[in-house]
Amino acid sequence: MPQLSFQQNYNHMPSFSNAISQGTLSFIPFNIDDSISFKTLNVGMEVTLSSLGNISFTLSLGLYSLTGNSVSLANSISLSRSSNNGLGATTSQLYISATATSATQNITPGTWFWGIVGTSNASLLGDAAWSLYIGSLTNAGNAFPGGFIGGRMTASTNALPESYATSDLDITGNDAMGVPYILLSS
Amino acid sequence: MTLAILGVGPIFSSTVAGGAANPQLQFFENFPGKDLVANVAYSKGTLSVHAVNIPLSLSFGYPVVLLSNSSSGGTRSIQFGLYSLNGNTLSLANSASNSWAPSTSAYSWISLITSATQNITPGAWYFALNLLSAGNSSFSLLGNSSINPGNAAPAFVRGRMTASTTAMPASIATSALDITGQDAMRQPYIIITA
Repeated sequence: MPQLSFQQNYNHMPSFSNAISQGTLSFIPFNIDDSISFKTLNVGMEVTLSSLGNISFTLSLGLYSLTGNSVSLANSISLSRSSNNGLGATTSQLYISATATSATQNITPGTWFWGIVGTSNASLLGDAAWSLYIGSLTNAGNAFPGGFIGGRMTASTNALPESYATSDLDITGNDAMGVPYILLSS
Repeated sequence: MTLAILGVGPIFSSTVAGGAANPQLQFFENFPGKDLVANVAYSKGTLSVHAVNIPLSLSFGYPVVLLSNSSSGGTRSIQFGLYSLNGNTLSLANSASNSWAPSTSAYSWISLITSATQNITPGAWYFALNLLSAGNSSFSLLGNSSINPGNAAPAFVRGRMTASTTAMPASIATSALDITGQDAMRQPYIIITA
């Protein structure tokens, strides 16, 4: 079976930034066209720091499969970054990557879902904001009417659930359905 | 001996040890990530068609478009056609349609009702869209905002019928399509989910 060296969900880096709400887990659809070894995960982020001091955040991503009306955790990875900001207000556009997956996996082709949740210490130190780059800010007024293509939890969490019912997810509006750029490479 | 399998995949029509015989997609969209640029106007009764490559099998469950509600004028309908290409002829493999009245929100998802079940096989397919209304001459769908090349595209990947139509034709000769200019190059966002 052929192996991919990379898979991304956009053909380029999109340009709209969408702020990450701490403790809000979103499920993002991700099609994989052939098998790929789960080695490195990359996201595009915009980091805005408005105060001095050591500010850190962690983005946890879970790889989920969909069976019926439930997503199940197959693997996970986390991306962390800290900044000792002695410059005052700054905004940076970055690729952020990580390689420490929770398990070795050769991901099989099909549709997977990334569960994404962010945490930080920013509330202790002042203002900071993290955004992911997404392709569109179009905000439909109704819930997505087709099969499951992602959504976000309404209950707050800082951890990746082992499984989750898709019927419990918010699937209305761009805040629930926006798709951040993800690059998976072997 | 017990064989442990890591990462056995998401959705399979049949599963064999170590991998799926026919991996399935849950969705396919012609603009990955809903990477959309603008409202694009489409004239009623003018069928537009464009090419897509579907990498894995996909159940033809719910074709969905994203419609701008900016136009008034009552009930309108959308027709969708799934075509294959043989030589210079597009042949209708399946279709879907729905009618709706605009809401007060700026945009609405519209899901179309399919005419037959189908497991779409991997490969090149052609999405066709036609819009009808008694009260409007055009509608806006979310899509691309094409540049306006002065010459025809050298390979057939999109075009529009020059003759007005109220239904999806069973076949379309690609030679009968307009393939020049921004109005022929526009593509609406379409996502098909299982």
